[in-house]
Amino acid sequence: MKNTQGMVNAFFAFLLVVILGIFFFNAINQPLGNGLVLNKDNPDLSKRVSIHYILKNVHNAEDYLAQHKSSYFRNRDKVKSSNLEFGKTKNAESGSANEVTSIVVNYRGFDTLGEVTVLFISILGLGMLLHENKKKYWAKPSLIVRTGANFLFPFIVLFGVYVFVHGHLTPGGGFPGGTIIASAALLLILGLKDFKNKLTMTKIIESLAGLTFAGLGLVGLFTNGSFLTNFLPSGTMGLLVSSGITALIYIAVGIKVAAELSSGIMEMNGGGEE
Amino acid sequence: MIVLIYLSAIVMIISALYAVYAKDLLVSVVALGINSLIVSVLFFLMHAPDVAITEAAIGAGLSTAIFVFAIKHTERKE
Amino acid sequence: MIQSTFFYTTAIILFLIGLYGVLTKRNVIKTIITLTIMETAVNLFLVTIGYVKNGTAPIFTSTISDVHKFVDPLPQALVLTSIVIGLGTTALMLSLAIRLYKKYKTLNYLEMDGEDEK
Repeated sequence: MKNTQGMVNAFFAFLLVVILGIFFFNAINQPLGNGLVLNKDNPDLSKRVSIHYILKNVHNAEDYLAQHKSSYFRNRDKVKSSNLEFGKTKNAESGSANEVTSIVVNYRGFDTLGEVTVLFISILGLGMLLHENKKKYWAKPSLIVRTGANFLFPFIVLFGVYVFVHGHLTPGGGFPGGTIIASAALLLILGLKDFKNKLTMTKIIESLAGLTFAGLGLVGLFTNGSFLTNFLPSGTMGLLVSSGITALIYIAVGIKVAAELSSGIMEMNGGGEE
Repeated sequence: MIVLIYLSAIVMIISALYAVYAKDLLVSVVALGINSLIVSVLFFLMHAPDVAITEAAIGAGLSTAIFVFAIKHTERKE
Repeated sequence: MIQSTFFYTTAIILFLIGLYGVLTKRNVIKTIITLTIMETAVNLFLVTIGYVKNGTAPIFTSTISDVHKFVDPLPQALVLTSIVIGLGTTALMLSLAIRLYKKYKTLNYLEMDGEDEK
């Protein structure tokens, strides 16, 4: 009896999946509006709003829109922009060489603050639910893991710090850098025989890094008039010391994510504060 | 290069089917790790290196480890 | 290299496989695994929107300077946020599954009966 109920459920789920599949495949080929279709080969980027993020002329676009009202939407590529070159451009609008970083931290930095908050709330919930976990058995690994855990830990931390310090020049940034440091903590949990949880110090580091992020935004509010503005000068594009507060914010985010995720893994392992 | 893209897509779909239909939960978790790794390769082939690094570090690294911790505290068979 | 229809098709097939798994499986941890497959499919779909066929990565280096060949960087910034938040919700869901197992001694959600506390 349970088997026929399961098979009827599976049949109806399969029917729903097939119907949804037909709808989705049809929806890719529908016209978008104004006679356009979703372009599959070479989308013309000068018709999208991302052309302003690529050419770094967002302020000029705002002036153009205020001046020409609604003919802006057809002439996006007529907004004035300056020439961008690695190592030569000084004081561009957001001076980091990595364009995804300049969107995540500078143009849409408030969304990153919201994301850090959501991550903090979920790890807070995990800590509250699992706090009275007892520690399970520790299965003894092979000799390579036991020796390698002692030896490799500082190199992995160094690599993680490299990834988030150079976030505005190379791909990477704060979030994968913090995750690499948390995986170094995981290596220690798996490899050492008597690993003691260090939860208090981790939580203090995490709170201080989060306060630094919000504090940098507030300094921008009191000096320039709006939250999270770039109050340091932009410098030459491509050097390590450039692009204003983008590097400082990514360092704060990297330290915060590293401390948060390693405390989450220590709580899941169990054992409480020792 | 085109052969690499087709092969990656086929391996992704096979590992997703494996993750849904396996009876042992540890086999499902390993298939999820393979899925995340191959999606990271596809992100790199689409000229998005930031997203590829983040997906490889989070999906194939920490997410698999958290699932194994959860299976250790509960049962292993479905 | 290749038309982006292929990537859209892969993302849709992965999403439908994950949806079938969420609807029919009865174990709590297997539901969480298939939900993670659905999230991966949606991230793949979003990155494919910004794909230009013979473009380069949107980073200025000392050899690459042609701005008009860049891939669209805006969907990549959105997907960066989405991956990290997916990890956060997965961690919270797994801790809830561990607490459910400690209370009801089973992970099959059709067999968990809520007895009233006497």
